[in-house]
Amino acid sequence: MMAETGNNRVQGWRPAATLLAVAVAYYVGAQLGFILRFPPTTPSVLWPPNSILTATLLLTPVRRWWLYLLAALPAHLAAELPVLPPLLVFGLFATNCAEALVAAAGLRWLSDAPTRFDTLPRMAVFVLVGALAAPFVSSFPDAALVTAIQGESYSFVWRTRFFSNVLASLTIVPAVVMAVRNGLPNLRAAAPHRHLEAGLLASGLFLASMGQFGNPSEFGLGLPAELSAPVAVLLPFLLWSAVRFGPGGLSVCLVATALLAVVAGTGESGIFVTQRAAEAVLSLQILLSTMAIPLMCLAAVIEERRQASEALATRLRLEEMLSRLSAAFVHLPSTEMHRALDEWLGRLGEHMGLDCVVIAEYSRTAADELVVRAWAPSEPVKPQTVACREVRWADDQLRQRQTIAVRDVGDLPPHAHAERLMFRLYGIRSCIVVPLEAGERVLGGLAVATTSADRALREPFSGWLRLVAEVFASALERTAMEDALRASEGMKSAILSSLSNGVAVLDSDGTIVAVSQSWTIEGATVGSNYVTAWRETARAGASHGSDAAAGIAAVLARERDSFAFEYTARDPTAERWYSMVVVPLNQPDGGAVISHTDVTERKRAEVNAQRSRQELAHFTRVSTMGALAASLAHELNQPLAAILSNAQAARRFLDAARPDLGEIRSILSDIVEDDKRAGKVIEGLRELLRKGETEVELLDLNALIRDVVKLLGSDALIRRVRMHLDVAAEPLIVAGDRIQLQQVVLNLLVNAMDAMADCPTEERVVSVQTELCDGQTARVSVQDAGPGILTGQHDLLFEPFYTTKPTGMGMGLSISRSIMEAHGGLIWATNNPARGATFSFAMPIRNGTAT
Amino acid sequence: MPSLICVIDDDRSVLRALRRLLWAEAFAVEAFGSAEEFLASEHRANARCLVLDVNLTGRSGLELQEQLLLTGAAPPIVFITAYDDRVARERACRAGAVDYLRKPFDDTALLDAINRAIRGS
Repeated sequence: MMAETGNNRVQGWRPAATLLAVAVAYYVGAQLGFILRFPPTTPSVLWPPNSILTATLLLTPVRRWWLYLLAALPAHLAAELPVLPPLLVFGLFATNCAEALVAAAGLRWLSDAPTRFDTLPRMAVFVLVGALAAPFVSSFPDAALVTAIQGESYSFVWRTRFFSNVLASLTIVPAVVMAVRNGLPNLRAAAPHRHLEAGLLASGLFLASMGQFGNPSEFGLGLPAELSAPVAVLLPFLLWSAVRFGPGGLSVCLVATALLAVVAGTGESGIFVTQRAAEAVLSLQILLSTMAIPLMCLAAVIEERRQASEALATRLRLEEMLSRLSAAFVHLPSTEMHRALDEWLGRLGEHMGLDCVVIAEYSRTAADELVVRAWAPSEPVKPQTVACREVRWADDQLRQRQTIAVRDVGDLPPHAHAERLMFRLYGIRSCIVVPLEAGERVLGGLAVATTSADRALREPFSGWLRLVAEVFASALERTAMEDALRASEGMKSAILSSLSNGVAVLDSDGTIVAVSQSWTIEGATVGSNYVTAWRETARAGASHGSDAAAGIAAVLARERDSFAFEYTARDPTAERWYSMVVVPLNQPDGGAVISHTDVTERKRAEVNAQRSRQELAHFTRVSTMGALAASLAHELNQPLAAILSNAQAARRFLDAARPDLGEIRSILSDIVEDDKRAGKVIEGLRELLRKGETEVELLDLNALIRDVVKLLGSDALIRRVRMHLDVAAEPLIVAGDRIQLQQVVLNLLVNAMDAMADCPTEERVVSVQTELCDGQTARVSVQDAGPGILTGQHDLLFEPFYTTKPTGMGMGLSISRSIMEAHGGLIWATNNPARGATFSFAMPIRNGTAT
Repeated sequence: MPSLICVIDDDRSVLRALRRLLWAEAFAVEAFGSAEEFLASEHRANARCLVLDVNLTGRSGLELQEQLLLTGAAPPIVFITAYDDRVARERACRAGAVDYLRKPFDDTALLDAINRAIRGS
């Protein structure tokens, strides 16, 4: 008993102390037994040593039994050698040991819990095997020995020994076993009224016993005959103990009663005991034994019921706790979560009588850390961070979703050093850890621990703990999700507020649900319908309003993948340009995101760039014209010369006597034609020199090229260059600005002629070809027979200020390229196989007819 | 018998106007659109004067002059041109051209030049 309740420091001498305790108990029991016997007969009327041995064997592992039996031997010898012959002493020790062995082995074999007497089957097995069969069997050799050596009556010895051992077994074994198993702390922990009740019971029982057995005058008169009536006085007290104090209390009372009765029965007569007194004691033994058996069974039944109802009550308490816990956590906002956790750890600990409750959560920021919140009585919960590697074994178990149940520090595996150290440090006796699981993930663990052996955590408790862990786990999971959601909401609003262009989010109906800080569109606030807003601007006269509304509606209806739109709005001081982009919102409910950007600066820059480009183009056109001035003069002088000569001829005809009016008429019509011809030349010239805005129209490239070739006809003539024109059969309709495209062709033709200035006259041929490629592209090539492009200069040709001409500015091809790019076309140059170069441009064909 | 004047110009309108003018002054006139046409005709030998455009398509006026001088049967030539080119004018005059007129020219200037050509020859 001492060893069982001793703490860990005394473990070293625990077995030795137990052995000593057994020896001492055996000796004391034997001395007591000697006192309670009727010499010269050998058997005692109450023989405790055998029961002490039985209790010892029940409480100790089988492999150590020999040790305890051996420890009892010196006590046996010391007690009996002075009284009995040595041979008998050794023989009796053998029969005593045999009885204890039969009882302990039988109980271990037949009972599911040999050291417990709290159910009827366990009690019945104990009574039948431990209290009846073992003394019954062992009494035969015992009586035979005594008869043989001492010469006493076999039947008397057997009978005395059997009943004395039955009585001792019935009373002492349960008392000793339960005292050792449950220990004294139970008594200390009991409430004061229990102590009072126990005191009352003890004094009542003592008085009743004394009244029954204590009066010597009455004792002699006839216990055997009138036994039933007086014993009835004891029964209420024994029942009381059975009902209120269980098998343990009852057995203590029975021991006390038996001792008192036997002492009373034997003490009076002293050593001059009569046969009649011995008979009376025997009757007492039988009486107490027969009374003890049903009482013990009754106590067991009551204990069984009590335990069942206690288990039920515990379960109810656990269930109630669980439901209150669930209720507390189910609607808890995530910000309150950890405070509530701390509070409930304490409540769990207090209600369940635990010494420590710990929740360990894997850190969300560092995967190899645990945030540990531990509760202990009267200690506030303080979160601490523990590295997983410090508790590797427990960490592994948790991650494998294992429940850890440690009944004793010895249950820990050898490699769980850190955990064992913690057990020692905090004085933990038993501990259960269940994983906190959320779906596939383990969030951490919930641990409960006790520091005393008598409150060791039982297996059913871990099932309940898993339910608690489920509540905590789902609460933690929800907290994590809510935190993540809040973080994502925060991120979203941060993004919205930091956008420089105005952004609005629409639902599927077009209603604005969120806007960025920079969203300043008048009349379009959160809650209003943006499509309707545009329709209203359309109704108010803004021409682009309906286009915008239709575009947004198409994106909302998932008919378009996106919609981009530019429009002008007049603010009080100046016209401003806005670009609006609408993209679908990628979520099941639909919707769209509108992005508004003020593109006024970009627009202005574009307009400026456009203007500079046009001015530059005009400038190059003018300078090209300057170069062509002589040939243009030629072109103009021809009709002028014809007109002058015709007019002067006409005057001469009129001076004649009979003017030839027919000839004069045809002269006049020639003059009209030539005048028109001159007008056309001037018109074409003016057209080319015009400094106009870009005007995109559908035009036929073939016709355009013919015009330019015609315009350059005089130039070619003067330069002695032959022009070969090979146009495609079908019209090549393109969309473009006539002047700009003419400029490109003019530029290529003038370049081609320039390139051949140093060539012999007969070689000066410019071939102009137009063709339709792959049905979608018009291609124009201008081939010359000049020196071609110098190696390595292909890339530079179209760069600004690149020129090979002494008076060139180097802008012609650069402008041609930008014109082509603006028309969605390309311009490039290659060298011909024989000699010279070919400059080509290509642009997309359009459907329709030239305007 | 009127003197035969051959006019060679690739501009049809100019050609027609000059033919009318010379015709009104009672010249015999033959008009040609190109040097080749002239060379191929029977009139090249009878021409008393050539009114020749410098910038002809095909063989130019100067080339025709050169060729006629080489064959030794070159009538006096009055050059006309719509494009005033100093190099061409000097070359024509060195080769013995009677005159070099810039279009548009006055009728009197042309007739003067033709008369000088006919008298000189």
